[in-house]
Amino acid sequence: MAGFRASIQVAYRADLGAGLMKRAMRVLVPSTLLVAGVCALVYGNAVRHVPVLTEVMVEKDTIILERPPANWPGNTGGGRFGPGGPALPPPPPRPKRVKAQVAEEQLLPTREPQLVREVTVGGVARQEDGSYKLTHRAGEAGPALCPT
Amino acid sequence: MKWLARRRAWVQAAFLVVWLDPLMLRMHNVCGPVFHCYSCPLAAFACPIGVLANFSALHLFPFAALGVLVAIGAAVGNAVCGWACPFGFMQDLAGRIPTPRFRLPAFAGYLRYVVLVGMVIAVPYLWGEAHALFFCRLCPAGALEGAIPNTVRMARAGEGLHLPSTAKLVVLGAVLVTMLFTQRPWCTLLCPLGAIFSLFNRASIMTIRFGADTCRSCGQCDKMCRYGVLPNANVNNSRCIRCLECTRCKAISVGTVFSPQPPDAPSGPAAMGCGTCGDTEHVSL
Repeated sequence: MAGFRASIQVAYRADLGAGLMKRAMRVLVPSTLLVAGVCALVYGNAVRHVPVLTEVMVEKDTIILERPPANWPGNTGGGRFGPGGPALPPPPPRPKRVKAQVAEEQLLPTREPQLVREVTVGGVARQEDGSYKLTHRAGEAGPALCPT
Repeated sequence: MKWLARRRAWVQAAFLVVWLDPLMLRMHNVCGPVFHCYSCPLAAFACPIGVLANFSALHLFPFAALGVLVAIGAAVGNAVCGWACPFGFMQDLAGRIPTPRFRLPAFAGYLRYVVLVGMVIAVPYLWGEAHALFFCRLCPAGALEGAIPNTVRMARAGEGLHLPSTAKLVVLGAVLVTMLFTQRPWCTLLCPLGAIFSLFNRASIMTIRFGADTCRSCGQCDKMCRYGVLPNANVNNSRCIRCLECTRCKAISVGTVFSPQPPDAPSGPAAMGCGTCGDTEHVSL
């Protein structure tokens, strides 16, 4: 009889334990999923950066060669041989140091929200080497519609 | 919740206004939770399926998009489909047209997972977005909300006539015709977003509770459900879009996993179709 009572008590406790376990899982699983979703959302929006090759306009020191003016005196044959004489060759171009806007490709870390916007218009492409490249110049509007 | 369930169409219309970007914010860097093409001239957010497919083509893991879907799915399950999705709203409106309706078999819902795994993840990952089976190239929401309006807009602006692809128009046409003869055919058969949210019906904080001790096995809940779910058999079925029509029966209620659960529902379908339950205190129709 004592053994029978003990087995009933064990079964009752096991059933109670199973019920508590079931209830705990019923609460834990969706709560964990919710937390995981929020964490993924925060990570994707705030932390994650993907390097994307982007064409940007940068100001650089560069050297240009100035062409001689079209009406330089030698063209008219008015050189040291006087009017009517043979035209003198133009002087060699003179190098000039200037600052100019030059397009340059840079690997810029891009946040995921920006990537999300770019994929909606086909603004990012994956290259053969696995890197990513923006299909339009940085700062420009980019394509207006999804390519599909 | 019963009074809200009767006004579900108004809630869907309110959400539609949100998705149509009344403030012209064009927040396409934010992934929305509903099936609404981001190429729509009035789209407020980015389509999550488009983002998943394009990120798969780029071989990138979409943390932000998946985070939105998992968080919302874990909170309310498939209720997004029943209360917020504009494409589902359109099908519900079409469902009010008095045409002969037939129910799709339950196993047809598995096709959604084929679309999700195949056309949204595998095809873009393996062959890129240029492939003919890339999901966005066949998406009916993209055709209806993006391609056709933009075709008209560009034609009116003198930019020439650029028609959407034939395949896209055929899929859209098939969905529009099928809507007249069955409830929510796209959601039931092919929607990949519904496939994702349906996985959370059994693991969401919001839950539908069935009181087996209150149920009288009259089968009225089966008649109230327009989407082929048997609430008295499996109340948190993956096909359920949580429209809450069945909660008009007192045996079925909405709750959360934090509240005490009623005794488990009996297995197998209860007696159906008797139509004799005229107890208006039990079922308020």
